[in-house]
Amino acid sequence: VSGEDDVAFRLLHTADWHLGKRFPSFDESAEKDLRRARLDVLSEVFAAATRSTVDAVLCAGDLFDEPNPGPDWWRGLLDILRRLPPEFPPIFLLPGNHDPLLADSVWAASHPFRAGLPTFVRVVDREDFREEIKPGLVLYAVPCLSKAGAADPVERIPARASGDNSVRVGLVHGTTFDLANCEMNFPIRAGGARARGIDYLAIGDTHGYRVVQDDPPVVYPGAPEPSAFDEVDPGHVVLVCFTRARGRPLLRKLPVARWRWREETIRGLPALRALAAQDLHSTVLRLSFDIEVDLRERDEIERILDDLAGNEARHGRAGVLDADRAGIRIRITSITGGFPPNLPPVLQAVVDSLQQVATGVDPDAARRACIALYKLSTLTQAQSSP
Amino acid sequence: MELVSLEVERFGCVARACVSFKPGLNVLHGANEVGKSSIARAIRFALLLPSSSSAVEPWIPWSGGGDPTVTLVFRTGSTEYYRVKKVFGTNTALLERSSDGAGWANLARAREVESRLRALLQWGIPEPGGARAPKGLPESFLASALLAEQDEVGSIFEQGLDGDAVNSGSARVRAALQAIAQDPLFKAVLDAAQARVDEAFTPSGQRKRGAGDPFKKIADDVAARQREREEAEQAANAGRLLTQRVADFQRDAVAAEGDLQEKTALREALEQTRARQSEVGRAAEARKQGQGLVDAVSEAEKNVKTAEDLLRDLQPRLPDLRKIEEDARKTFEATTADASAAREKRKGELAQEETAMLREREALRARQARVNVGLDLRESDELRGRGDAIEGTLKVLDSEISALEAVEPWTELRAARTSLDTALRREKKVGELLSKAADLRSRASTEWPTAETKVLPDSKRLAELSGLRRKLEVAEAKLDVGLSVEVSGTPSAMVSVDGAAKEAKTSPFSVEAKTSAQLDLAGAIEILVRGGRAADRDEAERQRKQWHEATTSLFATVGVAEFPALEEACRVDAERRARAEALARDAGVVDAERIALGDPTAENKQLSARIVELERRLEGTNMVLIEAAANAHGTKSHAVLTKKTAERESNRAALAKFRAQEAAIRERMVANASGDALADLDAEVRALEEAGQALDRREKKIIDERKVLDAPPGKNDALEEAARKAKKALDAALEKIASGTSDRDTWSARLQERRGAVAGIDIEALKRAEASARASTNIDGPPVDEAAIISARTAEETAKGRHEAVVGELRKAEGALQASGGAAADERVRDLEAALQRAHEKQAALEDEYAAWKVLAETLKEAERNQATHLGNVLAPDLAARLQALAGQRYSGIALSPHLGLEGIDTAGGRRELERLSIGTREQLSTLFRLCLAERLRSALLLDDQLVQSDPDRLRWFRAALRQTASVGVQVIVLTCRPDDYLEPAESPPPHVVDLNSLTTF
Repeated sequence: VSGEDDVAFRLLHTADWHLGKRFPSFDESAEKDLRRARLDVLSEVFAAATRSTVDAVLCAGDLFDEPNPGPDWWRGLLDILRRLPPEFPPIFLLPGNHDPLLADSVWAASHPFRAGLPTFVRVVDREDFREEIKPGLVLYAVPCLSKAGAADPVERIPARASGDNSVRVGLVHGTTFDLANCEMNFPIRAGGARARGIDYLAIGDTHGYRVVQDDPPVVYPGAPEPSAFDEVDPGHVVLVCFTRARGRPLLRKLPVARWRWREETIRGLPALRALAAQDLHSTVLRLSFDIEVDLRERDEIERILDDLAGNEARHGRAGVLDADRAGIRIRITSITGGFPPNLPPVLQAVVDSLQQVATGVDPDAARRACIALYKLSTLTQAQSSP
Repeated sequence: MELVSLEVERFGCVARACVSFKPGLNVLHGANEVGKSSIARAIRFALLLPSSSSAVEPWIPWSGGGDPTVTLVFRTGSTEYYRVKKVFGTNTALLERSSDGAGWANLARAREVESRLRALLQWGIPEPGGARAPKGLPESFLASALLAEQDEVGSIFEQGLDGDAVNSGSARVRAALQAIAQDPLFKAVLDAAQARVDEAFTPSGQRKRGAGDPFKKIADDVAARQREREEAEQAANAGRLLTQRVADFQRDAVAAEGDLQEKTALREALEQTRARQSEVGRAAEARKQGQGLVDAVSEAEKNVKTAEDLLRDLQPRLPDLRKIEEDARKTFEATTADASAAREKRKGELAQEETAMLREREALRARQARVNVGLDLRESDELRGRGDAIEGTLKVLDSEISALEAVEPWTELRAARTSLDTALRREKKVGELLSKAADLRSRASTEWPTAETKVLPDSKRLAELSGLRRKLEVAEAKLDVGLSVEVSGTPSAMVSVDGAAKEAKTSPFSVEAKTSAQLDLAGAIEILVRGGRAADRDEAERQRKQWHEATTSLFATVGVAEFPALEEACRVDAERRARAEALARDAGVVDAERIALGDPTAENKQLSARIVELERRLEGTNMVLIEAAANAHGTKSHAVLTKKTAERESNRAALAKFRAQEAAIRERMVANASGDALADLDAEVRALEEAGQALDRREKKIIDERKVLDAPPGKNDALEEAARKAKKALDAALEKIASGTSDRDTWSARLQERRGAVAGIDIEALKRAEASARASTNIDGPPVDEAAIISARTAEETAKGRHEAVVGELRKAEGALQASGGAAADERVRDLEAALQRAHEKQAALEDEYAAWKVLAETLKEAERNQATHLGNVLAPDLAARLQALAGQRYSGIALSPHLGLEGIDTAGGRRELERLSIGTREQLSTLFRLCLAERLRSALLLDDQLVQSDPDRLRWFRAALRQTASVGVQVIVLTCRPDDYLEPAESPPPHVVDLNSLTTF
């Protein structure tokens, strides 16, 4: 291959794995799935590296959620790395603000994780880290040494020396100048990369994909697997290609996530039906409601939610479902359809009484009366069905 | 049903007994341990216990002599007699039937007897031998109600018909009460709802505590998350403080650095001035160095030219070498049909295509950036709208919260005012009660002044006197033999008969006397004639003397002449004493009532002070809003306030989040804005997505093709060697060209570099500078001396010291900051906050869930109470009326469950549990309950000493009540050791009384 447009070097840039991260908002089973997903996605990350025949994999910090993760997490990562072939391109692991390089951390030389790493895996364990990945391609990396810091890690990278024509890649972890509260979270100031003659600055911290600056590119790849509903564009790694002609490197955003996090507020039953018809097996779905329904429709909502969430006997159709039913209101004016015909007078009296409370002024009593009505409806229907 | 007779042999303490019963009231009395309980138990066993049951063992006599045997005759109609005989401890049992109580026909034997009996009784007892059959003496609601046991008076309240093993008892009572049967659907729904209520609440409606509490897990979860969040918040706050500290020191450091720079500049200016004095030499040196660089340029130009000459020589030969290499390669390819070159070419094409794709992706990214700006604009507008909506909600919440915060003092104020009114009424009531108690005691004192009582004999003494009088009368009766004296021959005589006054008699005359006659004859002759034997006369005299000694003084003191008058005085005194004691008891009750009212005067003072304080607290608040909030939420206002406050905090957080997101997005838009806004954003998004997908497809195709191309080619060694040699030759030439090119490029670069270095150097200027430097030494003014420089350096050192001190502090603060949690701590707080919020939501949902079950169960029961399916509703009014007739208006009602279980007694002070009543009232209530049931069922009722704790007034009431029940055709059998409690003197017709004292016992 020759010519000025030829690709000279390829790098895969990833960050923010957050292995061991907890998801306390979810129930135990869902939390377990979401935690495991953070390790599972790494196989796809390294497969993307193999497919793209990259020269190195840059992992820009917060790879563990804390400096001393449990053995399950570092052993899990170790197993994945050891399964890679010996000729695998070098992988650079950078400590971030969640997993800083501390004396007793997982990155310590005496830690069994470090001791067990394959030779092609390098841990950025000093502030003047420099490695020539290939002739003409040099990596400068600065690890986080604490959970907070006011110093710009880019300023630790030496400026391009006169006559240095190599491709210079920076690898740091921190918050860029345009984000709130960046000052003490290893602030990465505008123009720093250019001033130091860096051709590509690989950074980590924010969980969504972002090109913070264009030339030279300063890029957050985002977390390879989403970790919250409010993250913008998570679930990717970045392929960085340097041409022989130099100039700005070309970027390619590669999706790797299995899970998609969706937050929906259901305001009508058709919307819920349409949602339930979608393929949601890889979706973390948080549903809230702002809806008024009659008793039959309320029953249908419960059936759909049961279908999505699953039960003891079968898996749900949604990967993870978190439904808040507080916003479901019963339309009290049309409840008769929710009960079997020829209801005994004594039960009809109960329905009338609950209906009266449900339309009363006490909102708590009204809400509970609505729930009671719904329960009465389901019990009578169940008892009356053949 | 009515019992006719009972025969017992060897049962308990009874060796043998035959008892007959009559319709109406039967009073079976006897002293303690004559066998009353054995009789009662024998009736129960005859009706309920299989003869082979081991439960009879405690009733087998110690003395032996055979198995306990009981024969009971009863009838269920005028022509339906039954006789059951059981020999306990054996399988011998017999049930016979008769139409007249005389001729008997066998109906069942052995085990079958129980089945027939239970079918006859319909008391809710299952047949023996089944899965639900009871062990030992079977229990059921009606068995307990109609065969009341002495030591289990209140047992009727501990169960209902729903506790029976079979529903025959319920059906019988329902038929008797003419109530509607419970709907099966209703029952199923109520059972399901109650089961869920029982998971979370105790029978009294309180939330369960401990291991069975379904709220515990979520409450523990909430508490744990709360603790976790607070700990994380503390850590994050510490980090924020440190962040602020570092920022402060950074500002100080910038100021100190500015000062230092100023001082440094001054010092440098002085030093430069001084340095110019020695600039002349340096300028000469610079001119020499500049000349050296110009010479180096010349050298580079020469080397470039040499390399270019070499290239010019080699490059014309290159086409030939390429041709040779190409021919060899083509030959190799033609021979081996190997497509490696084509593959390499194709690889090259693929690489170029890949590069082109990357450029296309770049172009897409630029378009994406514009799209992002458009999406950001849309999102920021949406966020602003959501923020505005939340601000509106917050205003409403602020208003609601301020009203809710005032609800508690407002409610307390209202309650305090009500309490004050109540206390004032109670204070008035206390006064009334004090007065009433004093009045009652005064009446008691008037009714029975104790001073008078002391002169009267007590009942023992009166009985002794009565005995003395009886002995005197007996003794005197023995002297009453009848005397007849005939007198003649004397003109007259004075005669006294039986101690009466003397009267004159003229002879002849006769005297008739009972005990004695005295005759005074003329001539001072006195004749005394006395009846009876001498000993009897002496005894009569002794008795008379004893009587006089005992009564003379007493009669005089009391003021009576005769013993009957004394007896009458004692009777009148006893009645007055009883009335006085009743009045004193009433006074005691009044006192108890007054004490129960507490100290309302002190409460008044406290309440008045509290009302003033609360009114002061509520000054200036909007009472209308507060009242509305209080009415809307009642006692839950605090919970609603907590919820609303949490909701407000949540809304504030959401607002801050939306505003921050909007600001961040707008900032990003400003940073990324380029060109005009897109006309059709959605179309562009779709177009970008399609273009991206097209590129993905192309890329996949490239990857696939690469895999094919990377497969190893075939072999043809000789031709390959030739091709390789040709290529080697070509490569060697290319290498030389590359080397030449490299030399040329290297020297060209150096030439460029040196020219660059020279570009800044102007030899002529350097020469002029040298000359100028020489000249400036003349125009710099006075020379700068060392002292001025030292002074400037000292000032600079001081500024530097200050700067270093500030920087030192800054470093310390940064060090502390590094040891803090940093942004990770903030993220953790956010995660835990969200988790806590979710836990609160789940807790609220769970509480709503169980509260709804409770509401449903209560509404179901309420509806049932309002329906005729409720047996309790049918029976309770009658029972309540009887209790009121017995105990007065203090009991306003009885609450019975649908299955006749007791739910409570309604009093003026609200519903009370059974345990709050006195033991006496409990036994009376249970007896009333039994009487009501027996009347409705027209069934015999056995009462085994049920009213031992009742006072005489209530016993009197019950005597009438029992007769009333008996009068409607119900047989009431009372077993008692105090027959006077149940019998009225001179009653007509009298009840059937059986003296059990004559039973044959062991």
